Formats: sequence, structure tokens, C-alpha cells
Amino acid sequence: MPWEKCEITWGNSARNLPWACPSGGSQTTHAMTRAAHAVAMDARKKLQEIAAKDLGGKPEDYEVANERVFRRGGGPGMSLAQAAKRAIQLGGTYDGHELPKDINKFTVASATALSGQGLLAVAKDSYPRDGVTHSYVATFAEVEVDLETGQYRIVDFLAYADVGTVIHPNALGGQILGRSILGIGHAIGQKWVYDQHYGLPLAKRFHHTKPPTILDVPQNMQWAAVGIPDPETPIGARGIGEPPVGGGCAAILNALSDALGDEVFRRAPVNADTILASLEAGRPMQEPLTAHI
Amino acid sequence: MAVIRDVMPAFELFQPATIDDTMRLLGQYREDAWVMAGGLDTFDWLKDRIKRPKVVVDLSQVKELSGIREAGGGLEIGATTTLTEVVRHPIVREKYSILSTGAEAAASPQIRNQGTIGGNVSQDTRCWYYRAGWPCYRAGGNTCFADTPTAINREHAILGADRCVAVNPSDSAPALIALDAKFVVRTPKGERVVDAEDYFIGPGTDITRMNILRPGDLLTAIRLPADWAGTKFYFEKVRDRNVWDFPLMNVASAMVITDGKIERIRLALNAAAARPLRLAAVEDAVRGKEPNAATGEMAGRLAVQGARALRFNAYKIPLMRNLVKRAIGGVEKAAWA
Ligand SMILES: Cc1cc2nc3c(=O)[nH]c(=O)nc-3n(C[C@H](O)[C@H](O)[C@H](O)COP(=O)(O)OP(=O)(O)OC[C@H]3O[C@@H](n4cnc5c(N)ncnc54)[C@H](O)[C@@H]3O)c2cc1C
Repeated sequence: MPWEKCEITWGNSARNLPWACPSGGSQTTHAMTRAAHAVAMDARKKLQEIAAKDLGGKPEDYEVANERVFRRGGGPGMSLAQAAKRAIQLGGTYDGHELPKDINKFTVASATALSGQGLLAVAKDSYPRDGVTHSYVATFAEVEVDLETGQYRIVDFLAYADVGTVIHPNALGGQILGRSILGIGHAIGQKWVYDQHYGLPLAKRFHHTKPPTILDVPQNMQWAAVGIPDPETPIGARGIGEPPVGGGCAAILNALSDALGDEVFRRAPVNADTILASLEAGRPMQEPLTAHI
Repeated sequence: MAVIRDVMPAFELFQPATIDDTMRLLGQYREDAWVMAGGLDTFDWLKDRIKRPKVVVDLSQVKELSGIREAGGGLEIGATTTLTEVVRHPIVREKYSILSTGAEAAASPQIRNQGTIGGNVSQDTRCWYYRAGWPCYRAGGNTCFADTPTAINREHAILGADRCVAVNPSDSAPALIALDAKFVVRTPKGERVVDAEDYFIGPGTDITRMNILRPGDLLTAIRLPADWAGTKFYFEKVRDRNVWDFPLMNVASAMVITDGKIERIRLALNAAAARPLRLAAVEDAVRGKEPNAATGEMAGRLAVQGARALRFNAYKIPLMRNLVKRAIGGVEKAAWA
């Protein structure tokens, strides 16, 4: 189906969009692609059935491609537009007048409002899944520490992700690197500061909380994906939202630890104060796991 | 101590067009008037409703206060010249590059486009207790919240503390001191020209002010003499992030080296005390010596004599020692570099 012929409707309930899962928990790609697959299978099944009804043979004899449904190995067929017209004439499940029993009540409302306008594919994702679905990221970082000032630079950075099938490389790269930067931020600066006696916030302004700036992002920052399809979903893809955060943070802290030794810090973020004070004293000078300072 | 951050309290706004009109307004309203240049420090105070001036005198329309011109063999920089203009000026870059480097290290590009050199040297301390409106010594109260056993004070002073442990955060100030800049101040009694290092004051002199300006005074210009133009400069700023971050400490030096020896030197450092420090004793100690690592190390040790750490700022002592060392002996390349 050429892209130009697809109409995408973004979050507009006035246009009877069906119920969708929220974007969260790094589950979006996994959940959305399964549901999209289920509904696409329903569309194909209905097209095959309509073709078989009109042109003879069994539904399995038909395949869907090039905007048509046609008999496998050549033979009669019809365009998707023709099939849609037939779906309206046939009614019932084909144009949404009859709906599956297992779908969400919001989907029922959407599908009911859209019924009778063409071939309507409606399905619930009931593919099996064994256990939970998570992505993994192995992150590597190299840092260069200035022992006289306590400042350091991230000279090399690579996040390698295991996210199943890669659906959209650019979007995946954006997720992996963007979220890695959040993790880097936790290692190199981001904090909330409270006065411990009065319990009042001291970091009140945005710049006090020190999110990483564009100049703190490593220049040499790469990502890659192993690309092994996940057997627990028909699409093979998993989500990647949060996993790079932990990797980004831990890789920087581990690299710093490797550069400085284990006796310099036991908390994050790590800045000049932590590094210089500990190096000067020859022992960790900040309590482990204390609040941000 | 709850701070309402919705709107600024009302004030009367004046936008004079000449220095004379500005002086008349400042003379008329005195303590009630607030001088505003770029507004970056000013608006924090006003929006937090912590400072509540009756009158704000906005300098933005005073053309005479802005711009850089050649004068007396050096340069004269108008007080409301933006940091960006200072950074980009060809003569500043060519002969006084320590100032362009220092000014460019301040804040972020957006802030430098709006912030002025006069505002940068006159800005208030960033002590977060004081700026949050806690009733400390500097705010006219009778305690320091940043110097207690539980205080969060990694950015505070190691030198020159006197009840108050706040630091001066300006990145341009040490560069100006290293260049032996002169600050031109208009007072109700007439014009005063002071050495850069004498513009700034510590809590021992007046705990509520960062500089010599009194109500009614106006900083009009900063002059860079020819003496230190094009000498050997060193500027370094240490901060948590690479942009949009106040200094944990910065250092600036200007040196004239003759026959491999330091003939003349000016050395200044900021964010160690409530005023930028000119390290005159260190200058004396290194004059006539080679500008190498050994001289630098000796200078660094001397510089931190008398330094006293608070709960979280002990790192500033080695930091200051090392920055002074580098400002004199340069940076040693890492073995693998
Ligand atoms: C988020 C943030 C980060 C920053 N980071 C840095 C940094 O890293 N390094 C750094 O050096 N600075 C930093 N700054 C400070 C910034 O550079 C200064 O706030 C700015 O230069 C102040 O200049 P201004 O022109 O905005 O002054 P204003 O806010 O208008 O004035 C500041 C003070 O100076 C007085 N004043 C100004 N001009 C005159 C004059 N001509 N005569 C008499 N009094 C005058 C005002 O009355 C006021 O008290 C930062 C500021 C912000 C908001």
C-alpha cells in the first residue's frame, strides 16, 4: 500500500479513533505492533473471504498485495476499493455492523461509529506471550578525568541495544541516545538539593538542577542494535524507552571508577567536588547514598 | 519563607536617555532606586519578591553607556555593553583575549546576549540561602545559613569569610583584574576611577554589598589600559557543566616573560571568596622565577594559605592550588595525550 494512500489520524476522538494503549513502561512498540498485526490479519482474512465469495475457491487461495486481493499464482482478483464496496454490501462483520465479543468497550464505540463505511478490520491482540517483555542495553563509556580540576570528559560512548526486530532505525537511535543522555545527566550533574536541617529546597531554579547541556553530550556517541526478533511477538519488536537511562548512568560511573579507583565516590552525581576532595584526602569524602548536595 | 513567584511587586519604571538624567533620578530616589542593566540578576530578585524597590531605573536607553571605543591607547567599554559584544569585539579578541575568554565562559549564549559587562561585575552573590530570601546576615539578619554543620555549601567561600560565606560568581571580574582594568564610577559628588580589584568588597567591609557602589552611584565604563595588552594570558573556569553554569572557581593571569623569567604578573581568582581575589603575595613570590610547574606548585601552595573549608567545599582548596599552579606554570599534558 503506497504511503500516499494511507490516512493517518492522530489522537482525535472526534474522528472515532479506537482505544489504544498509553505510551509507557517501554512497552509501546511491543504492544502497539502486536495489536496492529492482529488487526492487519483480520483485514487480510476479510479480504480473502470477500474475494472467495465473489470469485470462487477458498479464502486461503487468495493473497493480498499491490493494493489488490487476487488468486495465488495468478488469476482473478479485485482491488481493495472494490473489496471495500463489497464489504459494505455484505454488512455484518465485514463493515463493522457485527463486532468481535472480546474487544474493549471504547473500541466497540469507535467501530460502531465507523461501521458501514468500508471494510472494517477490528481485532484484539490475543497472541500468546510467556512472561514479561523487556529490552536490554549494554552501554560502554570512556572518560578522561583532569585530576587537577576534577572535571572530566566523555570521550567515547556506545549503547548496544537488544530490542528485538528494529522497526525504524532513526527513531530507535533517537530513543537510545536521547535516553542515554538522561542517564549521563544523572551521573554528571542532575540533582535536587534540600537543606537537610530545614527541609527546604535549595535547588529552586532550573539551572540549579543541572540537566546536561548540549555541550555535555559526548561528541562521539554511537548506538547499535543486535536485531534478534523476539519470539514472543509476531512482529519480533520490543519497546525501548527507559532501559538506556540506567546504562548511560552506570557506564559513566563505572568508567569514572575505573579511572579514579574505587575509593573516590559512592554516590552520584560525580563532580569536581567529589573527585578532588576524595583524591586530596585519599579516601571517599562523601557519604554513600546521601541526598544530593 | 514561602516565595510567591507569580508577578513582580509594583514599582515605578524610569528609562532615562542620558547619564545626567540617570544621575538625577538616582540622586532623587537614592535607597528606593534599583539600577537595572540586562535584568538577568535583577529580575530574579524582583520576581521572587525578595527585593522590592520602589523605583527601577532601566539603563537600556542610555546610549552613552553602551559600546566599546579606543581610548588612551587601550579600550573603554561602556557599562551596558553586552557580554556578547565584549566577547566578539576584534580588539578585545586580539589584545585582551583573556577578557573575551572570561566573558564567554559566563552563563549561556542567550544570557550573554542580554547580560551586560557592568551587570556581570556588579551582580549579587548566588548563595542559594540568601537568594531564596532566608533572613541571613547579608539580607540584614543575624545568622548565616550556609555555614552550619548541616548546610549545603559546596559552592561557598574558602577565603575571606566574615560571618557570610557567599562568593562572587563573576567570570569577567578576574580577567579584568588581571588586565589592571579601571572602573569608572559616577557618584553624586563626581567621577571616581578605581582599580578593578578595589571595586569589589567583602563582608568585612560591608556584609550587604558586593562592591563599592552606594545608592546614587552608577558604574559608567571599564577601561583597559595598554600595559597588559597582548601579554601572556591564562584563563580557566571550572564548573559542573560545560555551559550555563556558574563557576566553582576561575582563575586569570597576565604575565610578561623576559629571558624565560616572569618579569611582570597579575593574578586573580574568583568564587573563592565574597570578592574576586587579586593574589598579590603570589605575584610577588613568582616574579623573577621561571613560569614552570615548580614555580606554579610553590605559587599554588602559597595561594591557599589560610583557606578554611566548610562542610562540602573542601575540594576548593586543592582546586585553587591547582588553578594557580596552571595559571603560572601552564597545563601539563597527560602522559597518553
Ligand atoms: C542562569 C544564569 C547563569 C549565569 N551564569 C553565569 C556565569 O557562569 N558566570 C557569570 O559571570 N555570570 C553568570 N550569570 C550572571 C549573568 O552574567 C549576570 O546576571 C549578568 O551579567 C548580570 O548582568 P545584567 O546586565 O543582566 O545585570 P542586572 O541584572 O540588570 O544587574 C545586576 C546588578 O548590577 C547592578 N548594576 C548593573 N549595571 C550597573 C551599572 N551600570 N551601575 C550600577 N549598578 C549596576 C544592578 O543594580 C544589579 O544589582 C548567570 C546568570 C544567570 C541568570
